[in-house]
Amino acid sequence: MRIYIIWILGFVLMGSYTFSQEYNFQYINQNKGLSNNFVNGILQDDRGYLFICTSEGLGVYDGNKVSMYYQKDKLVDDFISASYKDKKGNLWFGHNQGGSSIYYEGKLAHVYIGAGIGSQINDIAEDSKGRIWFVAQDYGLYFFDENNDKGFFENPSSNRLYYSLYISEQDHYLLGTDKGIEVYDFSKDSDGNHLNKVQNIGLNEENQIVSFVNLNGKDLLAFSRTGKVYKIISENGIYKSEELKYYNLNKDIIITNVTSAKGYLWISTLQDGVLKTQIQENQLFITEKYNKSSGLKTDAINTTYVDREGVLWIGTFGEGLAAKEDDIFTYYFINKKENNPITAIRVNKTNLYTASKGKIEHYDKQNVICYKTYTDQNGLPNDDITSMIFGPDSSLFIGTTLNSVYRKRKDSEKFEQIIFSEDILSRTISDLEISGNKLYIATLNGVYRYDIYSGGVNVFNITIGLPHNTIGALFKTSDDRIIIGTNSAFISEIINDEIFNYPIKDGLEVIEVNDIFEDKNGTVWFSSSGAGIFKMNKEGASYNIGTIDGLISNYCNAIRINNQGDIWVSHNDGLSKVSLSDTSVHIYDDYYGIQNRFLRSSIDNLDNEIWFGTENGIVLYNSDKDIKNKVSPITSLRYVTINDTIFESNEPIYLEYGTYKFGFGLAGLSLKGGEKIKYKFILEGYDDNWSSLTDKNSVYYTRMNDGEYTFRVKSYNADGTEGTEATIKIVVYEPYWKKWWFYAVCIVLFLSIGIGILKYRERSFIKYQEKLKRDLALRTREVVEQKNKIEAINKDITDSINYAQRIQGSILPREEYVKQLFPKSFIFFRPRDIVSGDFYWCGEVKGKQLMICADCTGHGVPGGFMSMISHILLREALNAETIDNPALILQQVNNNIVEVLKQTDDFESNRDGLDLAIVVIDKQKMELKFAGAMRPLFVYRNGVCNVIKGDRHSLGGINKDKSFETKFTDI
Amino acid sequence: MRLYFITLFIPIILIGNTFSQGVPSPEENIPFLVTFGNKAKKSYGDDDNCQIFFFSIPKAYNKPFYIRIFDPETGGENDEIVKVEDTETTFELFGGKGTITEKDARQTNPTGNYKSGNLLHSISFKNEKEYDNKWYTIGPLDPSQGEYSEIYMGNIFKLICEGVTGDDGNLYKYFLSTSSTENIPIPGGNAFTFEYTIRLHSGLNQISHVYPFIDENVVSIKQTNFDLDNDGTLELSSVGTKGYQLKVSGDNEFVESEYKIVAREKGTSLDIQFIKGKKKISNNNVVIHITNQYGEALPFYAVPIGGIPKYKGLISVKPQNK
Repeated sequence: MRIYIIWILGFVLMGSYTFSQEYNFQYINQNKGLSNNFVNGILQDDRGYLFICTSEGLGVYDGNKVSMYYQKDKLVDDFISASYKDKKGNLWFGHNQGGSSIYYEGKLAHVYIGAGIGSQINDIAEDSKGRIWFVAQDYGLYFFDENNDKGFFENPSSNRLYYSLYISEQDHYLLGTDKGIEVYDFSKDSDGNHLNKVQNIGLNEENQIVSFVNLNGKDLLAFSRTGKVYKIISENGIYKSEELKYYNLNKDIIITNVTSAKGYLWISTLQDGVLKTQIQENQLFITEKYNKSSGLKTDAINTTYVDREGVLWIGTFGEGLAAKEDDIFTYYFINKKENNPITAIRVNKTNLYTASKGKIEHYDKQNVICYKTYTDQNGLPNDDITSMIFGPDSSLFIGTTLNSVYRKRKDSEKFEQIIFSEDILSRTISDLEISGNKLYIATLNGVYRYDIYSGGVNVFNITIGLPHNTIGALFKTSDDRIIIGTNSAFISEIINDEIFNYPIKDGLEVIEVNDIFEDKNGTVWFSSSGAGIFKMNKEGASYNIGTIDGLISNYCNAIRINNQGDIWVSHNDGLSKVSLSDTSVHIYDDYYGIQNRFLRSSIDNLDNEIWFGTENGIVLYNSDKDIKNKVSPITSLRYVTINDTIFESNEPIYLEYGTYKFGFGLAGLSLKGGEKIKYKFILEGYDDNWSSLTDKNSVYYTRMNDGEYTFRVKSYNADGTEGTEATIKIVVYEPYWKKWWFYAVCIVLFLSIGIGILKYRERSFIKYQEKLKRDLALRTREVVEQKNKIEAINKDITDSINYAQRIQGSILPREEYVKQLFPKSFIFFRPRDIVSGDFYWCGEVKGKQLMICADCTGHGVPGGFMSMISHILLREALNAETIDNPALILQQVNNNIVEVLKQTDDFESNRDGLDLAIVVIDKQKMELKFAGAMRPLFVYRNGVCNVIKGDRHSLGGINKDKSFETKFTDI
Repeated sequence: MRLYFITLFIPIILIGNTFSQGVPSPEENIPFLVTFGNKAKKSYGDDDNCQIFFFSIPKAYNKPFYIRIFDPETGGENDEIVKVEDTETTFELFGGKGTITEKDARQTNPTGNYKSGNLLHSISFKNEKEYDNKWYTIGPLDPSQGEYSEIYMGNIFKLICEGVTGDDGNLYKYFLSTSSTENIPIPGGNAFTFEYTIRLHSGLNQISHVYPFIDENVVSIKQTNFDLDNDGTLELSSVGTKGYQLKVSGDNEFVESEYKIVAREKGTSLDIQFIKGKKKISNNNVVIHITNQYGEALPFYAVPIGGIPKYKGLISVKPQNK
């Protein structure tokens, strides 16, 4: 019905003209590595690669580049005329001169069955048993299956050429020929395989059936090359056809192929491009055409394919492969050959107004049909129109660059100039805004407020508080404030005729404001020349988004905020979309077909649409079609290099010990926005964390030593959807000296050596001990011998000394004698050696008891000698004269020793002598006399011990001047 | 050897191809090709109701192209109607393996497997007014759909026109074009046939030409013409011969005559001229083909290989004066 209306409108509005509505198509052609621009078939394998069947080879597209495969790569022939993906995911290719190839487990291979049939393969199909059937144009049909069962059916019907095949769920084989459709039954028995014709479907015999499509599992449609469409109906196994009528102006249409996807039938034609069609109520409706009129480079299309991400791929006849990713943007060009700048634009539900130099055009927005063009004939000046706005009375006000404001009243076709000031600067209008019945006019001389009914004028300029008279933009907020953007460091607003200025960037920088808009929260945003966009609040405008946040440029022309909460900013080089929720920025550049410069303030929005005016036509953004691609990209590794040697397999790589450089080629297979794919990766065993997102598709690691590494990579499509993960393991073997067995060997070795050393030392020690023992025994024997010798000597000596002792003892008074003289006495005599230098003597001389105690120099034998000498000398000195004065005894003994021993002062003379104490007791006088040479006398009386010191001279020695004193005491 | 020879002459060929690729070409000055319905009498001038033309697309050309047919229907202007318009003509375009390499395709009579190759396009015309005196376009076509031949210098397509019903004569022309709506020649493109069935001019003093190519293996040729109705003379000119008279057939008659090829003529085209006689004969259709000493048909090129041959005179040698 819609089609009818469009055509009716077309005729009714004869004389009017329409926009040409164009879409953005990306091309994969010879410029991008495709060997040939004639695309005969398109398939996508389970890994996501796109296979492009051309007349000169097979192209495989990975979203980034095309790799070509030819006969030398196991393709039977470079010309691929048919293609098919079977239920197992294998890809089959039929060739122009017969024969077929298969893409199986990532490799191409010849198919030898049917290779000798030199007839073009037009179609490939699979039956319920997994048999692959080939339709050979001049030959007929043949099949084979993986069990090597095969069947050849040459000319199943005479004088026919064969083009297409459809195998129904009932295993009926509908064969499309150059003269309609024939139905066959296939049977297999002991005699072999049989194909029996059971019916001709009643078509016009002239129709060459090129394609079958089973739409939504219900309706089977057959398409003829000459453009006819038949619905094939099966009743009780009997087929009949019903032609579907549809309206298309091009009578000479030639259908090359039909595919079904996304609820549409995509009909490829050689004369009219791609017809996007739908079946409704048993009728075929063309809902859209993609051809030269809508931006395709050609009208000649061979085939179409809709991939897993919903991208429509169009195989053209001579222009390569075209992709239509989405309909986010629609492009309208009134005349492609001339520049057609749209300097201002206004839209409402049904109407579209565009303005350019000296011209305003009024369109029916829905059908893009131009109702009316206003030019100088309608009073417009030959001047750039900078703004348009409708007043409350439906008058259209326009602002011009040099000629002030014009007004077209609702029922008038004429524009009338409004002169609201004599100032020449006030005639340059940059923006208009309506508030109630007031028209606010932005000029180079401030803001004028014009009453559209009374004509009264107010001016707001620097004299009453505006920071600058050059006004860039005006905007009326939802709470009826008028925001004024100037060329100054402030953003201003008018509230109750009073001007308030708010600093931009603390009022430190002059900012040229280009456009102003308000988000749904009432926050005002404005765009600037050179400083990005700003958010305005009561304190001013300090929050700023610019190129550092991802904007295409800081030079921002127009700004709008849509219902989805996205800020749209137009630049000279494209569009930026800023999400209000997270301030993420998405840019739209020439990849999306945006090639023309956007013009300042040429923008308007309505509901889900934003209309942008450019230097050559209009760009329409439709947020309803801006759907995030949630299909995960398929991640893979294009290559792995080890020291620049390429490894193509994804099997783990094992390397001998060494230092390596690893390289990884990353591939994220998203055919929708494939150039905007990003990656995250980690090399486990080396990296601690995943990398940040990067658009670089190769990664290198240098100086990699032994270890076990696993490289993991994930891709993210243009909308940030995470893809699958690809991994590869690389093991650089440890050196032998890092292996456990080496450690074990070392430990064993060390232990062995240790034990060996210990054993050796032990053995040596034992040997040494034995030697020592032997030495000891030897020495012991010597010692024993010496001992014995010494003992013998000692015995002799001892015997001699003992004898000497007897002699010496004989000079000592007997103990009985001593007891007799001194009844209460005792003797304490402990010589150190056998013979001694000590001796004592007692006697009675002249009734006086005498007691002597001497200590001669030397011990042992020398002492003995001295004692004997001293004893003799002492006995000589005892006489009556000396008995009463013992000091004389000492004196005399001393002198005798010196004399006897020949003692002199000579240094080498002996110093031998003795210490001696003499006590003489005179009982009659009860007197005790004492003389001591170096010996005291201890007197113990009544519990008290008194000491009477002797003289400090020994007897004998070199001191000749010795005098001794006799000391007395009572008894 | 033949390949080398052809390669040697490619520059000349390319120079020759600066001409348009209409069939017949302006150089031939032939008003129309003609094919009669299969019920027509042979005496109308078509011996087999079939005309086979080959189109050669240079290997370097890899863009879509079109074959256009002027006045493909039978009726209205141009065509030769016998009583009523009852003729149907089919045009079938072939490409791919066997298009030219199949021996039957290179014969002068449409017998055997002359429709070799893949059928790329088929269209039938009766007397549809919308195509009367107008162009019908086949295509776009992919050059790779043809059969590549080094000998015939490119991807070869074969267009067979046959009168399948009726007895009228369909007069038509072809053009090998890069455009579907205009006649824009393909650089280096050409068209050739092994047998011409043509309509001659009705007016006096008109000379029509056909240009067979003589390869290095040709020693002598035999021309055969049919139903020339003794309308004037048939002369052969070349770089080595001028005005060599060939036999002329009468009504519904085949005649043959031979001509020995001289060395200078190898690798060039001959210019066989249909020189109208003094009496005015209208609607004269004629068939002509040429075979070499082995009976193999030689191709006539619409754009003569090496250009239109110009007689270079006798080569004389003067003894040097002592």
